Amino acid sequence: MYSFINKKTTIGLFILTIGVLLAPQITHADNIAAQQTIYSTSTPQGIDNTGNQTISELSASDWNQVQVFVSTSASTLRAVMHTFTGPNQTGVETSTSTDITPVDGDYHLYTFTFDAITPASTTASYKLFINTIGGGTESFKGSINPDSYTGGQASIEPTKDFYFRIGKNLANPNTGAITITYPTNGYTGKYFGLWTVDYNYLATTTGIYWVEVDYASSTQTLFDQFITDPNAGVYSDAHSIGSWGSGQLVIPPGFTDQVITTTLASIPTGDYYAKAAIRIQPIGTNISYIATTSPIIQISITDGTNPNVNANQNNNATTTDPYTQCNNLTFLDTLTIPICKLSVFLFIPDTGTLSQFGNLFKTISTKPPIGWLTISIGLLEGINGTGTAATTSQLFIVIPPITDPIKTGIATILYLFTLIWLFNRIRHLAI
Amino acid sequence: MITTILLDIVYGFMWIIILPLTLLPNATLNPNITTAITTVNSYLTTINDIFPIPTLIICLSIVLVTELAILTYKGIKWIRKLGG
Repeated sequence: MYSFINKKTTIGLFILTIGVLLAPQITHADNIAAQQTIYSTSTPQGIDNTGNQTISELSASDWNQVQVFVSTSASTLRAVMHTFTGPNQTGVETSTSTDITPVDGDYHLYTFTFDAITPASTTASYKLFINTIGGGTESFKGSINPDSYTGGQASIEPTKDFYFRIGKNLANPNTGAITITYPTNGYTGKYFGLWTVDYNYLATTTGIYWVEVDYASSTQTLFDQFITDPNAGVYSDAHSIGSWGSGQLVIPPGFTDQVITTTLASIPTGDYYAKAAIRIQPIGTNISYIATTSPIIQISITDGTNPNVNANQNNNATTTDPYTQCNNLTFLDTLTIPICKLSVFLFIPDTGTLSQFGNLFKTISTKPPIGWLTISIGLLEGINGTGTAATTSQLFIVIPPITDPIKTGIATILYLFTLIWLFNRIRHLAI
Repeated sequence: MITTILLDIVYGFMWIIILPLTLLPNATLNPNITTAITTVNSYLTTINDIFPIPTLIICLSIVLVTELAILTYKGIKWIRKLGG
């Protein structure tokens, strides 16, 4: 019995164990690029009605407090957080804060405390609703500062809901936020004009405010100017969002989730760089200026009226169940089908057997020392940002067609060095 | 069935090897370390535009886990020797 656990068996089991444990971890790390961070322990800032900043604590990993400026005549305030675990705001779960009694009818910064926001997830989106209890009206100012997230976003619905989302790029929260959230890559139509821009902006001057979208074809040689010059737009179109006075929050009319600016120009299908801006024309002047600019996005618009999809494709769908696939055999089917099914029965493991390894990893990933690694990687999630194609970082002018291959090359070299190290380490292993 | 049984045996061995770890409490990081990593994250994001930080973390993780595995194996081997 004792000889059964000999040296070779032990080595083999260890290599297998480490391999199985490491594989999901690597996959998890590789997925970092596709995820947005919501984990943060930094201090977000709210902007009060005078433009001053107030520090508050908001952390998604320990996310139980949200601060909002509220002016209300209601007797009680309560916050309700909706956590959407599915796409398009589905899979909602709610958390309710403790009640707060307002100080008076003026604006005050209130801290709403939750027992827990569930679930805290790297892929969920969130909406915060402020409910008034006991009647009365209410209005809100300021925003949770989104720069505590790498690429967070906050905005306000004017009459009822304080609203924010995780995972969008944000301009300087002191001057406002604006992002293009649509189009994304995909089919639209032969011509595209349904731009969607999210923004909020605390007005510091009385004037006429515009949302402007600038865009350039990626095939144009001028796109580098478009990227490096914040005021350059190879093509531009603007959409008036009305007049706003000093101290007012500039918010989209009829704001629900986002403003859809259908009046902007249509563009043919193709690859584009685009950015949005808030432009202000102060009252009494004829000169406008750009107040804040969104990150640049890269979009590839394909003609959705003629997609290369076979309409009968679904009818030809095939099952991936290997046992059922045996029925597709036609050559000597009376003989080969039973052999196939026997082989599947003998050699193909069921999914439960395979998934138990995943469960084992889930358990071990929460325990030291791998748990420390998991937490650390979780904290570093979102390091790849929001995947915008071209952004001006603090250190580099990032032009994806140039920087992406460099990054891929460096990553390949790192993997290669690691493999060489691993090979030499095992080759010279003295056990 | 044969593969399933073999995998179950492998799973059993892995479960036994990992059992001491499963008895440990869940891992938590010192708040100062958490703050440090979060702070570093904001700086690394800028560098990551050119240098693939996640890849570097993966490579370092591979090295770390390999060395830990070797160390653990040697520890178990040493305990076996003590037991005769």
